[in-house]
Amino acid sequence: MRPFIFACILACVAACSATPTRIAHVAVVSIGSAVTSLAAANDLVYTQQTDALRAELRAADASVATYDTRAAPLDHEFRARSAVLVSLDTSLYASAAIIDAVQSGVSLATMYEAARRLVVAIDTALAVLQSGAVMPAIRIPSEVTVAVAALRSLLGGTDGGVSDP
Amino acid sequence: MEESAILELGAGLIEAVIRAITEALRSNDTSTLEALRPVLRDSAELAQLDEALVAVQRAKAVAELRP
Repeated sequence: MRPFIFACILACVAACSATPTRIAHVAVVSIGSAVTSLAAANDLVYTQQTDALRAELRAADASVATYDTRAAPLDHEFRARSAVLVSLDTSLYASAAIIDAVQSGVSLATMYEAARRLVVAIDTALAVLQSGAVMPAIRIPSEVTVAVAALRSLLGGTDGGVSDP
Repeated sequence: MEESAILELGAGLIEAVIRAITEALRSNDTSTLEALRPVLRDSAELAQLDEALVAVQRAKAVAELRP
């Protein structure tokens, strides 16, 4: 499977005239698009879980106080997932600003550092979204996997290879 | 892994790569920040919307369950 993934990344890189800033641009924009769908999926999972809880409590003629007690862990997990998505947004904006600043003379080393931080933020976000004590895991879109692989490939090539004109 | 699963995974990856290339071509002439703006919501707005969803779900519970 790995050679196939690598071939896909290479195809993307070749089609985009592979400069580091172009690769980073494509990866950040792709991840940005996917983060919106992750936020929507987080909202949907929380709504489904709390709707199901409310239906169960209504059938049992339970009180609002019981809802508050039983919903608390769901609220906590939902807020934790929302917080990592907000943090990922912030990292994406910061990376985007640095990628753009390369055109104005900011060094590629600075951009690589931003890409490294972004990969850490993505890893953290995906770990939180996929592990849950009370809510099901959120499916990660394949474009995130491909874009992160492209970023990792970029970071792996910091000792040479592609360079900006 | 079964052949059908591999083919499905492959098709998904190819689709993702095509989307990424399309996005790159579309955003070729814009800065990364400008390309991100339409797809990402403001962080403060995102946090407010999430809190609003928690409040809406509780309001439904107040309406439907006994006090």
